[in-house]
Amino acid sequence: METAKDITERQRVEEALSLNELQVHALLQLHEMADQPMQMIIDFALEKAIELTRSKVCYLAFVNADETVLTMHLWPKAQRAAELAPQINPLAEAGRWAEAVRQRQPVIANQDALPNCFETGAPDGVELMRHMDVPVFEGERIVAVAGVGNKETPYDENDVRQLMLLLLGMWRLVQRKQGEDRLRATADALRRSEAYLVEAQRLTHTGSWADDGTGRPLYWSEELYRIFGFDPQQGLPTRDQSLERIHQEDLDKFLHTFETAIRQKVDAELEYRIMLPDGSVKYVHTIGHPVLNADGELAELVGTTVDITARKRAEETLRRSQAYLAEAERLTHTGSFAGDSTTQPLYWSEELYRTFGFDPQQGLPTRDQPLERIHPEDRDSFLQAFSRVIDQRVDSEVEYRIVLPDGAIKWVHGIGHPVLNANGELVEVIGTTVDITERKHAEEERVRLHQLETDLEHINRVSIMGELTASIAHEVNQPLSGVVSNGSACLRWLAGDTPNIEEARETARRIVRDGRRAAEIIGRIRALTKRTAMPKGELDLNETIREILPLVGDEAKKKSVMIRTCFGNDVFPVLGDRVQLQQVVLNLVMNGIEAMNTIADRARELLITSRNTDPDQVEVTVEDSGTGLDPDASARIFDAFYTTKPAGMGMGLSICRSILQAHHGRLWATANQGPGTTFHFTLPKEQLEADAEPPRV
Amino acid sequence: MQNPRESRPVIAIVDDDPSVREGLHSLVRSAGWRAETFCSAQEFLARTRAEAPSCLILDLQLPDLSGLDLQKRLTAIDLEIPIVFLTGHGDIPASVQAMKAGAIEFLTKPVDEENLVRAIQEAIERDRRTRQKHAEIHDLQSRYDTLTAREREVMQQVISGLLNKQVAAEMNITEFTVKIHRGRVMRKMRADSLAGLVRMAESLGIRSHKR
Repeated sequence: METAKDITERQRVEEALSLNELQVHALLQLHEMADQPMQMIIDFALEKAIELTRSKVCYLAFVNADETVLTMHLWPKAQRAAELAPQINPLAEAGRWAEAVRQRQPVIANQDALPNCFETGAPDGVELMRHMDVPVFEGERIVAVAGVGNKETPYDENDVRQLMLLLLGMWRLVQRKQGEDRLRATADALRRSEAYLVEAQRLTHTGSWADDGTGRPLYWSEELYRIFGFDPQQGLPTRDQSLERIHQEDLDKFLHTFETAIRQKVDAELEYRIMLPDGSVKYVHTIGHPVLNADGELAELVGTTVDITARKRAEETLRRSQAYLAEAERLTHTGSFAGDSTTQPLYWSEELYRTFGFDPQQGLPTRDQPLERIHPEDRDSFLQAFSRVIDQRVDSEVEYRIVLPDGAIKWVHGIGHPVLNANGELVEVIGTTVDITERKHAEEERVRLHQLETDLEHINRVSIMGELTASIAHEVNQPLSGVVSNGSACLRWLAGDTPNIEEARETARRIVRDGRRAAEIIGRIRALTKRTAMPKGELDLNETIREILPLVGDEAKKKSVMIRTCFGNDVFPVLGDRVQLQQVVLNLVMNGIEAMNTIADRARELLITSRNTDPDQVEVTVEDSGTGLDPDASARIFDAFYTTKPAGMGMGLSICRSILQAHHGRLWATANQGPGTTFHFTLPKEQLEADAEPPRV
Repeated sequence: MQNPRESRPVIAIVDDDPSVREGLHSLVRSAGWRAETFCSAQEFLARTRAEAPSCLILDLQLPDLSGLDLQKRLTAIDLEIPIVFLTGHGDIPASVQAMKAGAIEFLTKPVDEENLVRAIQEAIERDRRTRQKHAEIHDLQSRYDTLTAREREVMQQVISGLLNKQVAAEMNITEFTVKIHRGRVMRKMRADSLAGLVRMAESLGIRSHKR
């Protein structure tokens, strides 16, 4: 028995030695697993625990922070083939396996048959015969509980020590692992958020920075490098390098703002321009915030700088297009408006305020204010036009007058347009209002000018008649003289004892003839001095000219001028105002006579010709042998108020030219080969005749 | 009513206006004179009739040559025709000029019949006198033409108021010879006194011989 005992003893010693060896080996292995995933470390430690305590099962439960919940994991792996999920057990309800947590010390349960060991928390099919549980402490706190069970012999202190050593070794590794993982996770999160920030800065064109309060950069974000066109690889720019990039015109403003911020320890905010080496200009918006130390001294300045170039450009474009529109409205005197369906104003352009004489500062006028400015006589038509837009949903136009407070009157032309929604209902009325005062004035002026022209023509005719008074009187006097002589003769032929009836009859006939001749001349004079223009009619130019020659005949004789005519036989008829064309010829003849006033060494001759020049044009010339025009004067003779005559008004030729233009003709002057000047005018052949011609086939 | 006789005065009418011309033509004839009409000064000057008219009714304003110019031209060729001027308008400077140059009258159209007839009559009277004077001078001239050169010389000395003795000394002949010449001059010239002879010499345009 001794021997058996000895053998048993020796066996026990050998076992103990081998256990120690196993343990040391296990611990070494565990340490070598430091770089392995945590799960593998735990698996390894618990398998070794089974081995070292000669147990059949092993479990590990993690304990939550306030030691109220246990999460059970079961070993060995073979028994976890059922892929048992970790079981969560409130401490209070957990079975006797959790006693070590409750007692806060290792617990050995060697009693036979412990059927209720896993009352709660035991995996199905696991039955504990005996077990031993050890809590794992981290400081004062229990973080886990591990247990082994179903050893064939009772558990003893040695088993407790074995398990505790293994668990401590394992737990240290687990803790280190958890710390590393947390650190790694934190670093990852930090990296991610940094990436987000960089992306966010890039997307919003926002750079951030810090400087030491003297302008020396301490930190620049990547986007700030990009905004300022610096290379991040080159490191932080110096103070001077960053200041150089600021637009020269904005540098003073920039420095002033930051000086104030630093001195007064307040936020700095400003917009300025930066200029890149390639000459491109960026607009940026910067906010700087002073950071103070515990003593209230400025420690550093942090801030953001946003590239607002795109916004600025857009603003600029918008402002420009608004300015263009306003300018266009101003130039064209066009105002625009929008109003709702009750004519309540919704929008008035600047020009419209100006047109109505309202102050834009006072805001939109009321519905009635514009109406009050409209001339009382025009209000009805204005309102009618507006209601046409609203009631009939059609565009409508109206011309009306605006009476400004100072009494000035403006003419405006308004257009209204209905804006309908999808259902065809009226939403708004929009429209324009054009100030047409100037156009109206121009129209009035044109009418007035036309009247003035007519008046001038008349004055010119009357004044020519005035110049010709003596000549005309003579011309009337001649036939009258004939009448008187014939009358006297007639009486004499009839007197005495044997009246000479034949002679008397002859004289009477001449009296009638001469009387008519006088009446005709007076008729022509009356036509020429009439104020109103005659309607145009078909004229024989030769006849038209011939009619007025008697009026200037005496004037010509008195000035020793010989008037000769050379009329074409087949001159086309023209369409014209007889009196106006006679006026033209009279002016030209009188000018010709006057031009020869100082001629003493040659005949004073005035030649009037007429002929067809084109297939559809007649030309009349009036040629004198006078002093001629100097080139200077010939350019200006047709200008109004240009005259070479001391008493002349200078309107004659200007009027002649406008008369011919009104007849679709032309008037010009040429110098003669010899002495003197020739005035030419052309008139188109009367077209009615051509129209009446049958079409040629 | 009157028989056309060559002795009736001829009145020339120069006017470019047919109404005036024909009216005056009829009026002049109705007053019993003969009338000739011309429509310009040139036409008048180119007239073919040998006999000069007794009176010229002349329009002041003529197209080629004015009335005043024609008057000058006639004086220049010693054609002394009394002129009655007609004008459309009372042109005072022209009328003064015309009257100075010897016009009978200056009438304004339309002419008063009586004034015209009176003016024509006056013109005819002056023409008659002129013609008479011309005839007398013509007679004197033919008598003067019969004088010898010596007799003409004596006549010139005598009308200068020299005594026979002085004439003799001047001509270096005897006083007796002077008396013979002088007697013959008086007889040939039919002068009844020295005063008569002096008048005749004046009419003939003979200048006295004063030195």
